[in-house]
Amino acid sequence: MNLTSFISTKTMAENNKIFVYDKLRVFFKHTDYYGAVHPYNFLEWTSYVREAFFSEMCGDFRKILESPIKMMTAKIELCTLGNSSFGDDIEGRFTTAQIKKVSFDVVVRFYNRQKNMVVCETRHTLVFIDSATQRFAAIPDNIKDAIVFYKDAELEAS
Amino acid sequence: MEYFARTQREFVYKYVVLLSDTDQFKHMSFANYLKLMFLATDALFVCCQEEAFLAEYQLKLLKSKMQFRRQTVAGDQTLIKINSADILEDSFTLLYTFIIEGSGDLVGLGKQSFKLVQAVSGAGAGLPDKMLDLLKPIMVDESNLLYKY
Repeated sequence: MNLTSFISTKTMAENNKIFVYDKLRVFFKHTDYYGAVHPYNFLEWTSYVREAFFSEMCGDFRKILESPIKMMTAKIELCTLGNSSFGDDIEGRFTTAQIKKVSFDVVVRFYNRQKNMVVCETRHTLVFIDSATQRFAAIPDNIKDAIVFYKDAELEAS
Repeated sequence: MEYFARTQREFVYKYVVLLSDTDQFKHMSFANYLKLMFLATDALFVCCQEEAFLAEYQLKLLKSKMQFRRQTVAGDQTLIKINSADILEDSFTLLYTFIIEGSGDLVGLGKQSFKLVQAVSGAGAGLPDKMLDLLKPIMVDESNLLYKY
């Protein structure tokens, strides 16, 4: 099974969708001394992918931003799996894991279209805080209602 | 902790959080902390950045992780302390402790594992003395540390 059909299958499953952000391309500023994408860029792109998901899939995300409930990154991990170079088109594939009352994990796999492989994977934990009380807050409904459909099938199976 | 502070050497990189590092929530965004890890690593290995070295070797990041304890805002004077661990034939790990200078408040803990490869072939390369001379004086046994990185 090739990766494209794998994704189609996953997208069809109601609770294991994958959100794809396909507006990433490697420019000179992303490359290092050796012409490879510096790993830092995948961290920056991780924030692009997650914010694109929230903007597109979580209703009125601006309203959430204006509320006292704030989102914080508690921890993040990055694994490099392959190189990318100038001109490559990168897809950020967003899924979720470990959905709890006040936190969940965001998994982003970066798929290089020219190299036909996942070149990097990041996973970070988001927690929600009520800025008025400085206590943990429940995941806002708009976000929770969206992320449950994007549970990572691979992580669920393992 | 006192024992650690008096006997353990570390490499320290200082960074003052700039207004341009912060976002609409008025604190530094998570990706910038990771960027600081790369900046501090570059500063540690600044003597390994001449053309001849870079033509022979490439330092590849295998895995990077960071946990956040406290937000920083513009003007915060941040110290990034680096120690090394798990120094092997062609790989090593760096441990990063982010604290606010003065108050000593812990901002975050980072950990990155690297592999040194031959720039041309990509095969593992033994760590040269000039890298070992930087890594060994700041080496720690991770299992003996106060924090879990």
